[in-house]
Amino acid sequence: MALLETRGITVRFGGRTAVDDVGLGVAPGTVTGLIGPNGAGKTTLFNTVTGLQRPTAGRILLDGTDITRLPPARRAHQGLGRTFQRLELFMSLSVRENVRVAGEIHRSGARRNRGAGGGARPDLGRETDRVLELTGLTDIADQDVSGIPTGRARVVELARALMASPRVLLLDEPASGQTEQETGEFGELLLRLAADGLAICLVEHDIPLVMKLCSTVHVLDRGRLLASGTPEQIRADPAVVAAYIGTEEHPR
Amino acid sequence: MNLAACSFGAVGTLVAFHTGIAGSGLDSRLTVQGVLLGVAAAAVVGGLVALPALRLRGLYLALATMAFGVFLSTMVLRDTTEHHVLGHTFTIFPTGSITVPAIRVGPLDLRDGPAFLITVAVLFAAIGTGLVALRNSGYGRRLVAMKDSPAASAMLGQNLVRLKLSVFVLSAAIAGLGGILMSSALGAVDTDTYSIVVSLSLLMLTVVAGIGYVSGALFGGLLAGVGFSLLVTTFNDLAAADPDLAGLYRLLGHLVTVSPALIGVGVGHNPSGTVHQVVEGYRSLRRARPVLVGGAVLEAVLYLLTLSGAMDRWWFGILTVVLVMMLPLLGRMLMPAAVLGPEEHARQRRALSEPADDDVPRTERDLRALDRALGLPAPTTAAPGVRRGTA
Ligand SMILES: Nc1ncnc2c1ncn2[C@@H]1O[C@H](COP(=O)(O)OP(=O)(O)OP(=O)(O)O)[C@@H](O)[C@H]1O
Ligand SMILES: [Mg+2]
Repeated sequence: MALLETRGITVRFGGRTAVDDVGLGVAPGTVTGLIGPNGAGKTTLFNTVTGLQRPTAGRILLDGTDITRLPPARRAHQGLGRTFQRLELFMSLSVRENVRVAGEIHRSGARRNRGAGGGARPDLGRETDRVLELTGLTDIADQDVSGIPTGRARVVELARALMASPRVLLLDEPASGQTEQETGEFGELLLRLAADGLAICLVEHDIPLVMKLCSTVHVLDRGRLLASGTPEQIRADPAVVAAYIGTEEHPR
Repeated sequence: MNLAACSFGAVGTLVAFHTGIAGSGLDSRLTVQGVLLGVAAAAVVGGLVALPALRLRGLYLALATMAFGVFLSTMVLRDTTEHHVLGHTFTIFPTGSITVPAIRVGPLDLRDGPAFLITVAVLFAAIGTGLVALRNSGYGRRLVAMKDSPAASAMLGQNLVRLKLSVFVLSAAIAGLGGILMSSALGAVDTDTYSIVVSLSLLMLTVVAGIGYVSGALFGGLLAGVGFSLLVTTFNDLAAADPDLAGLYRLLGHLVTVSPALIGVGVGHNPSGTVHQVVEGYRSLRRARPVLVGGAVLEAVLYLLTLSGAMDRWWFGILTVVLVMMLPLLGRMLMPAAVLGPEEHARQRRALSEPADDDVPRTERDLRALDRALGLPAPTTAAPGVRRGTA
């Protein structure tokens, strides 16, 4: 059963259709891939799911409830988290503060959204340290976030999203700008998070990474869902090869 | 950004005037209750003004506050007719000018000049400390986060409208308190006291001094209140006392009057304001102890010279300001390695010894920094040229 589901999502900008009747699901405990050439509509779909973009048509379901009309902050409190393709870090804060403030935002809103909160929560400082440790950011925790390399900055975005205790995590090209080693560690981390029950949706141009991590892969092309299946099925699909992988410069 | 701080001050004053005056004649005074009601009214009105505009971008909010300021000073504050509401008869702004008596609480009588000064200083310190504490709290970090990336804040669950509204209400409340204090210091208040022009010039001075710094607000307020007139008279006095140099002093006196323009240039150089620059300077000086100590010694010498009468008090003031401003620069000249940190220092030396070579391959990060500095849109990571093929 999918935790997050889109049904017939369509987004038009003027006369141009960026997302065209897309229905897909993201199941808990797995990494689901979403691939497609530049301009296929992947980021637009994420923006629609998270509420930053209003769909022209279609519905979004989270755990069976319709969230299509909710504002972004309410969706976040329902358990939706994301990272951004164009980094959206809090540039005037340190790495630790970036992560910590995410917890502060989450708690201040959670208090309003569901009463006084469920029982005793761990100390925020300790929770921050735990997430920094988990994501391997402890060594740069006290650096200004504006000075760290893109590859690590992407991990900071992930750590920040984790502080809001998401059930579904949408990652928009998290490996771009990472070194090969960083990507390897990042993949391990995603598998561990999924094993803990998180539903992860991964948009990535790094096809080998997608094929390694994902149990299901969806392929978007010019706004339309071209194919869905296991990595093996996707790799063997001639339409996918023609539309997407064939245009990649040199997939090894 | 609130362009009509004085208008909220006016709201505070009016409400305090209508609800908080006790006694009559020479014995009339402003009660604490009146002050609190005035502050609360300013906060509520601030919220009401901001609410419709908050969903819009910052500029529109600023314009909405400005519209409110104009509305208040042209409509409400010119309203000198009697109103009958629910059986009460009252006039918003009787005779076009109201007399606001000083605050008196028990033994504390703010009619007394020094007592007023001390009370205001203590209040400012308290509010300033409160604001600094607020900034270092979770609430303050959430504000910074919202400013840096509204999209990311929202995606973590921040209700942006509510957070913006809360800051705005807070700032309106502080403006209300400031307005009441200013009114009771002035004694009598008329429509022009709260004109939008006053708000704007106050705001400009605060921006110049250092927006985002509590000390910036203090510096801006001092500049507005005493700085200019004081400096001009100082130079005139000096000119009278020392005829030989009169020409020079007069020139300096004129310079002061055009200084807002010069300060404007300063803002262009560093949009965060003067205080920011000085604070940054001192932050880097921390590693250069000898320079700091030297500065302190120099200041002590100046002070002793003044005490012994060898130097004018005005000179002491002027030299102190110069010293405070120059110290970071001196430090940089005398101990570059300590002030800049070893890496930066080495880099600057290299840059000096090797002329910049444009063929040197730049890392992607340098290019990004360059783009940001030039205000160009950053290339998306998916641009064909920069794309990574595979892992
Ligand atoms: N705000 C907008 N207004 C108009 N057109 C837009 C807007 N946002 C996206 N588009 C268009 O929608 C299409 C899909 O863009 P989108 O960013 O979703 O692609 P993508 O799959 O994320 O591509 P990439 O791999 O380059 O990140 C593109 O053609 C883009 O030009
Ligand atoms: Mg994209």
